[in-house]
Amino acid sequence: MRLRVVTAEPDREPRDTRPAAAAVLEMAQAGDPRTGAALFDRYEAQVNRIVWRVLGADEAHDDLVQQVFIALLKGLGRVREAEALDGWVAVVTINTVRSEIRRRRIRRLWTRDEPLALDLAEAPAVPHEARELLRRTYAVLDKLPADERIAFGLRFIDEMPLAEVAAACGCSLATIKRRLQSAQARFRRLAAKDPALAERLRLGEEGRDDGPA
Amino acid sequence: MDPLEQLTREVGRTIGDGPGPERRQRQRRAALRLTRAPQRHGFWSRWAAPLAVAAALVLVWVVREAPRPATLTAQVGARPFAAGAWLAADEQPVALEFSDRSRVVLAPAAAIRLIRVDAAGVELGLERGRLDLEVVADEARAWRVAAGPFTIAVTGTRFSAEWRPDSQTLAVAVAEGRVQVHGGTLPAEGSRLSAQQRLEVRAVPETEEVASVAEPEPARVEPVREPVRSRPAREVPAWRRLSDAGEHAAALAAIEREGLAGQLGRLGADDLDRLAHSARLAGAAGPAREALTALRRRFPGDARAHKAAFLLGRVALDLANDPGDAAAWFTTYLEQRADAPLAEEARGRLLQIWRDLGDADRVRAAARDYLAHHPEGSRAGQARAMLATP
Repeated sequence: MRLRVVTAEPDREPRDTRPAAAAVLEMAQAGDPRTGAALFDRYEAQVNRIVWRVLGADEAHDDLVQQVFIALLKGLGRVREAEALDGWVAVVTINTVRSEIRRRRIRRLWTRDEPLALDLAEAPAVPHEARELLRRTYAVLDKLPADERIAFGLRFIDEMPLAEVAAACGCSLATIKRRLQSAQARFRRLAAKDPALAERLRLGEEGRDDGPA
Repeated sequence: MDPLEQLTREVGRTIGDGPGPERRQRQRRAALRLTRAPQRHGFWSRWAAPLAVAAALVLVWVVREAPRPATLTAQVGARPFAAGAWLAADEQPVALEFSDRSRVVLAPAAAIRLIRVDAAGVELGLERGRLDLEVVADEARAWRVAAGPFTIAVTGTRFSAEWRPDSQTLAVAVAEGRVQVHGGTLPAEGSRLSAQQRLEVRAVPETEEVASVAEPEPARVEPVREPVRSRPAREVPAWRRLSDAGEHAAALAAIEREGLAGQLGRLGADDLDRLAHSARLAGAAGPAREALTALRRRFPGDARAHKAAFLLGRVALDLANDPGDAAAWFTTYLEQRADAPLAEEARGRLLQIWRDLGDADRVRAAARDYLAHHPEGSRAGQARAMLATP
């Protein structure tokens, strides 16, 4: 069985974010010097989570978060509706991440740089095996095309609802489903070349085969 | 659950939601600098740029002249000890010494991993047991000890830390100086300890523990041999739910509260396999080994009992840092079935073990065996290179 792509997830409760978003917009329109702080306090968790999970906690994380907030402050004046702010933040974050993935790929063509190392120094203690699993998984994700990697990371690692993935990536539901299927297939193919990941996926399949129907 | 789905969920849980509070504070300070109050034009607007250039030049000169902290190194006895290496004490304490005269002593049976050591500081992963630390104060260096979900941030101080994976309990006792403990069930701002203070904290809240042990278990006389997933959902034990959800450390703690030794004699092959998996992912070599050994002893005809030999090798190699034991298990796995599904991986690991141990005869024998069975294998090039080396 493959990962199933579904259209609705009941597990994330919608919340009314309009008052906070409206306050941020008002501050921006008034030229309030506290806009950066308000924007950061409102959206840092969302931005950090997306960048961290899609790119894999690498050493350049804080620089990328900074880039996202520069882009957000630059474009904030163009946002008119408070309801649109949450979605727009996700789109800007994804666009920044996409540019970074492409920039790294081009740079690697010329410099043969290694992918950036995982930086979990401040994360809770993660056992050696789990760190190894992360390193290998993100090494495979590093080989996926930027759009597939982003869709895969948002949907399967961040477990973002499908509709939100489509909105953040700026495409239709049908497109995002196709992209996810392609990303899954490519991930499986590339993971098969990594002994530890291949074993992990194979053991899972065997366990399922061995188990009761 | 689809194995790929399991894998990605586990990755999501392990990687978490982002960096820790200190880094987020730094990010916030950077964001604050992005917007500034409107400024009056006048003297400053004319002179700000030249003054900034002058200040930058002064800063560059100061930074170049400022003494940089020397890189730290670590050693055990006379042997250098590098980041990424594991250290375990058997029956005698073992001391890990640093070039700045800081010292970490592992009590008997304790195990650590040196995650990072450089000019900026040291990060240790306490896998189990007690450590006594004497850290020489240096503001330029940050010391951290990670144990389960907890992190102890250290400045110059003398203290001990004990992590008991069985009960998911951390005990910290400070003799001198101060430490800050974060994570687990502690409040977001952490808990600060000063000299002569002691903290004992569990990773799992008490309410969760009660919920776990309150799960009704049917009375059983015979070992459970029925596939566990065929039972009604309400009877699924807490540890198994946690294991399936990827909460491996919590699953292990839950089953240990129920009595691991007793469960090893009762669980079916499916559950022993699942328990071993959770123990491996939680980094607990002992329970993983016990579950896999029980699987082999009680279900010798089951395909998973054969696979358990391979996994015992992995546990010995990756968790117990015992390459000799690992080699014995990989050999057992291959002896039982030369064409086993993980045969290439087992032969590859043998190759790596003998190479790391510097046993030239065994390296050549392992390389020949590998090439005879897997001439197109992923390590075939490596094996040929080993044979070509005189």
